[in-house]
Amino acid sequence: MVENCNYEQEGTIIFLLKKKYFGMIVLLYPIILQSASLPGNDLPVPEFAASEDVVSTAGHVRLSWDVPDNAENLAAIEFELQQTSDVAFQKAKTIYSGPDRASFISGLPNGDYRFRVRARLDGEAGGWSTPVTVQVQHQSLRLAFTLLGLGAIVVLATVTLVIVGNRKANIE
Amino acid sequence: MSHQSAILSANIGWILLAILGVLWIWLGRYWGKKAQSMEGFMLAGRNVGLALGVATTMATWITSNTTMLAPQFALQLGVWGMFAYSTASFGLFLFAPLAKRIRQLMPNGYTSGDFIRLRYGKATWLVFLVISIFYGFTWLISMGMAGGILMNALAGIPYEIGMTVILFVCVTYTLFGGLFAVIGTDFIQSVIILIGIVVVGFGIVHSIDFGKTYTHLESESPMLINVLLPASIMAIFNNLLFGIGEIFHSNVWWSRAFAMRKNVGQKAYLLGGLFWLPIPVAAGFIALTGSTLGINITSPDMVGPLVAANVLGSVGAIVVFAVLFCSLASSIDSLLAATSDLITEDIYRKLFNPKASEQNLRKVSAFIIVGLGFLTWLICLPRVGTLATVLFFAGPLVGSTIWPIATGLYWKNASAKGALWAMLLGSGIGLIAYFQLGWYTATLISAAVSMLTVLIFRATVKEDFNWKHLDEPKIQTAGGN
Repeated sequence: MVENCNYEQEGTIIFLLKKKYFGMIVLLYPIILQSASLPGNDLPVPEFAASEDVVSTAGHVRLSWDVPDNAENLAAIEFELQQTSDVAFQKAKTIYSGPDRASFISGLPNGDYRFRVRARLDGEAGGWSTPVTVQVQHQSLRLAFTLLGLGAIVVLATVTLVIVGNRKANIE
Repeated sequence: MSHQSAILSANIGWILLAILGVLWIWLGRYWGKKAQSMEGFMLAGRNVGLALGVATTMATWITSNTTMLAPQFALQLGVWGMFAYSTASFGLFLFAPLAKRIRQLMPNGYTSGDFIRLRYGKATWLVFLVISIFYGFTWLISMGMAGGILMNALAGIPYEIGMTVILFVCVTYTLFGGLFAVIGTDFIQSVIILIGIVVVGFGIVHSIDFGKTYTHLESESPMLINVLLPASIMAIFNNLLFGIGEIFHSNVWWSRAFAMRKNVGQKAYLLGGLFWLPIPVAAGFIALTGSTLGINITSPDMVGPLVAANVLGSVGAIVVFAVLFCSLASSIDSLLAATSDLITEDIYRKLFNPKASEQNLRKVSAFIIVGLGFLTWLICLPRVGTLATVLFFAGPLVGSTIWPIATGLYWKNASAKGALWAMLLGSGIGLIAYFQLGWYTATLISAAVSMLTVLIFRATVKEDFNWKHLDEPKIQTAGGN
């Protein structure tokens, strides 16, 4: 399911790189990438439900997206979701392709992750959505072990209370 | 709601829904004939034996939360999350001696509310009722939602219709048969659940390459196999205490303690816990294989059913459908019956109409069951969050009841004021933790605050409770018995 995608191979980019505005193109590369597959078709551009960047303290996130209800061939449209750690999506990988409109991602280590999604129909691809950034910042291990210790004390005390109480009740 | 690809055809889904629905309603009517008196309706005649006792304990605790939330834990919190969920069996183990004690101290008791009122007085009782009824609602809502999500994901049945059907079926048969119907259907449901889980377990073990799964997790979701994932370390005792809090305070478990024959409760709860223990580990493990198999998960609470159904194909999906329908029904009916008992006995009879006739109490009880079902349906309509966020919102509230209940049963000098403040402070500070740190810390912090409060009051306020005050005479209704 996970596949790598090399954007330099896309026709639009190669065409632009041949032109004399090479320097400007390099500067505008991230923006160009986002609109690189500007549709030569009428495929709608999906948008993520989260309009702002997301912070996760447990390494998981649920991304959902949608397209306008009045889009043509709505039922047949599939989506391609990409994930990357770099701003320009140069090392992006496709983590989902299919008709669903959400995906749950978990087990992420600390770091910033960027996601984008686009519609696909009959081999053609629409424009990329505005990317969303997920910042994963796990809780501190010190806090985790403090709560683990506290939990152990409370559970131990509760078990002792029940066992001792039960013994005394049996004797009575 | 996000679109999720269905596995079964909608037609098969409807047929399954119709067969299971009609079967439970028919069984509810059949067993309902035994529930002639109010005591029969509420407590199955206080004559439940060991086999039925173990079955109802296990089936009630295998809720949508076991089959859907345990995999969600594994998907969100990795291997520790999977084991953290199985610690909820400790609640059953620890309640086993409590069940025996409850039966000794309150041979004529009806509800957990009765105990709090007689042991700690009216103020603590009112706070307890708020906590208990709120918890009952969140559990009911999480399961109504689970029914809708399940049928939508497996068979493409619209969420609203699936949720409505399962609530309707459970309300109907609980209405007919009370606790007789609940415990009877629990027995059959527990057999279906156990057979289904064994079938799914073998199917998955034969279909999965463990080495490939590990390698995939290591590269794509490394924190899921990292034993130092902070959120999962925090969740271990949080979940254990959540399970203890749920069982210690909820009338679902107290009503069974009252309903079982003398000396049966302790064994039934111990055996029920032992049977339950491996199920969340098995259910959780399959969630970790989802991404390796290329299954897209749109909502974390659906990972278990989706992976099982995808791996095992249409037949597997039918088994999963039946298992989950049974696990949902066995818990929804228990909650409807137990919460209705709590409201009928503790609020209607104790507060408004102490001389109500038996016929009148049956009518009120039926009205409350229907009302609870309708309110749950209304709140479930807009899908408010994932199962975990809905259910664990009640975590800090139930965590605060553990120490007041356990000390109230065993310590003569447990203070009434201490119990009241333990519930208030534990719930309040636990809710702050829920929002500030995360749901996986809230019950733990609440239980710790509650324990500390009980201990401080025990040291400073001197009380000497007479256990005989807990043995309230049988309900004297205008209609007799």
